Amino acid sequence: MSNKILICDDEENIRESIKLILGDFYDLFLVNSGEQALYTLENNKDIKVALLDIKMPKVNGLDVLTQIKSKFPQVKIIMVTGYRCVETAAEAARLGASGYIVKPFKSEEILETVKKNLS
Amino acid sequence: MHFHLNPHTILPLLCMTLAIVCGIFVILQNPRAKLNRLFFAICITFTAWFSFYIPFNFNYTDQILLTWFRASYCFISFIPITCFTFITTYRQIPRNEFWFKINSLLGLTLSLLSLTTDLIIKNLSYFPFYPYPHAGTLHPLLVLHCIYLAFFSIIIMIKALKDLSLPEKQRNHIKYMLSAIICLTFGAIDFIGNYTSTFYEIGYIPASGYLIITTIAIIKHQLMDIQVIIRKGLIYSTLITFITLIFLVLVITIEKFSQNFIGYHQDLLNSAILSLIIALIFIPLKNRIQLCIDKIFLKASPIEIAQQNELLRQEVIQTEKFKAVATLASGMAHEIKNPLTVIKTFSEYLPQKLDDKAFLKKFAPMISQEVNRIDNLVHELLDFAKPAVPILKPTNIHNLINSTLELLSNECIKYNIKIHRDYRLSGDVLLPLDYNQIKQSLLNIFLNAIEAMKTGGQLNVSTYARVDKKDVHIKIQDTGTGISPEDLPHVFDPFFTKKDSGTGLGLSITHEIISNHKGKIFVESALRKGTTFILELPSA
Repeated sequence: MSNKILICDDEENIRESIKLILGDFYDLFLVNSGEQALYTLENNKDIKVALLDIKMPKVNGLDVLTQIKSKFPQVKIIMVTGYRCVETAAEAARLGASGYIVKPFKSEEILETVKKNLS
Repeated sequence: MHFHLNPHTILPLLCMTLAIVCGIFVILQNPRAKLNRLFFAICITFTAWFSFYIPFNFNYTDQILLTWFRASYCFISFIPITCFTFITTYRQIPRNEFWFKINSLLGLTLSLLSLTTDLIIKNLSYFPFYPYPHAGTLHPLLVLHCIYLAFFSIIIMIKALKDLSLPEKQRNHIKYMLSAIICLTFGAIDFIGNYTSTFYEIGYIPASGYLIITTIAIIKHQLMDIQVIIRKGLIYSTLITFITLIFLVLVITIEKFSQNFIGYHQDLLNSAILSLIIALIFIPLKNRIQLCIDKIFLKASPIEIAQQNELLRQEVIQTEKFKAVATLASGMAHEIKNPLTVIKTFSEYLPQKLDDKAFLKKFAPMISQEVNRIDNLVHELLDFAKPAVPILKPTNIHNLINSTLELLSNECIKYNIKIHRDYRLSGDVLLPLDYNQIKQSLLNIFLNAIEAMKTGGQLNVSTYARVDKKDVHIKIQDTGTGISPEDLPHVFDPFFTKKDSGTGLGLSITHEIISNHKGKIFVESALRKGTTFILELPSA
């Protein structure tokens, strides 16, 4: 059985792009908000890695990160963002993120980071 | 009990009123804030201190006077600890509970001792102007308590001032507070009167300076006012000191004169003559002192200070502009990088999936969508950066509003939004406008209003003119979700958006267009009640 991965991004086209990259190798859950991410994690305890967008309209990705880390500490989190900003990356790492990918990304970047976090 | 106005008490009693007013004013601003409550407590203790001067106006017996002073000292004993707590709270310094308790206990002990024993104050000394309590054996303890807490407060503020990492605004606030504490420390000169019988009490003047500066520091958070405030504080303190001295000399002279030559004491006449003299010298004296203080303390004339303030103001505006550019850049990053991600992923997979029909069918439209998105963004940005110069033509404003609203009639029906028009200007109102630009501005505002009323509501559009009829006002009011007070100052910032879709450029473009028409745009909003935009357009 393939590993389960959660993708959380408010834009459908981004979710579809990540699905194109990871879809052949993993079991994916696509959601468009932090609220849905938490709900999905609650119902699928075996999700191992989550990819989170930082800029989302209602609750931003860093807040979602904090909430996931407090409720589901076993889930590895990779932040995906348009900001190439050292402070945000450091803040994400401090809050417990295990990876930080800047858009536009290469498919290998996503594949490798996910693979690394699953091993 | 006979009332007999003692002129020496007028100023301290005015200061007492000031203390009460400052205290009530600050507590009413925000009764739940700890800082405001502490300041209110300080004002109460100061009121008790200045109330010292009330009984000098009545022919009370020494016994009653002494009881009155004891009651005042009861509060005065708490001034050091309340002021110190205020400073630590202000600087958000974690409190050393043990130390705090010891000091509070000391305050309480001093307070009880002054009320019940002769250890803090005992019998009265008779000054030429009024009686004053004499220091008891333990009085020096109270003085020391004041001095050492004042010392620590000043140290705390100087340390804060040396911390260059603090933002400029906060450092200015610290300057306020430091000058306030130093002012207050001078108020301790009132204690000298407890030890000698010839000292004229003026501690209420610096203490009032403290109250005024602190009140302003709490209420106002302005950057440039610090110099002005300190300057005004200095001018008026010096002025009051001067006037008090003149007052004193005059009172004594006139009293002597009226006793020796007229033969009896005539308060009303004295007061009238004094008021006249003071009224005559007040303004010239004030101007003189102002000039001196400007020269000595600020090393500049009022005009130079005004110029410096103007420079500071421009710096602030510049900083705000840089902030807007920063928001613009980070907004750009997000808005462009998302479509780029989709395009990049597609191009990466295209060579290997050339024959995959499902892939092509799904991604081909996505790519054109994302390219359009970037294209639109670039257009909007260009509009924002350099909106075309408006081509002004006399335009009927009501027709323009109506045709814009027509564009939205379907949306309004969809979301059950009623439109209410209230055009108070009669006849054809022709304004010099760029038809398309103003239409775009109105459209942006209307679209935001509709966005905020997706569960139904009312859109009120009214036009009216001010009495002088120079400008025409367009008021657009919705009954939607409203904008939070934190977000309100940013609604015109480029890329600022709380919506699921949209670039956040709409209202900033509107702002730009209205400014280019030499008009003004204002917004007010209350959460869950709605938002109102007011446009002011020049009629000629």
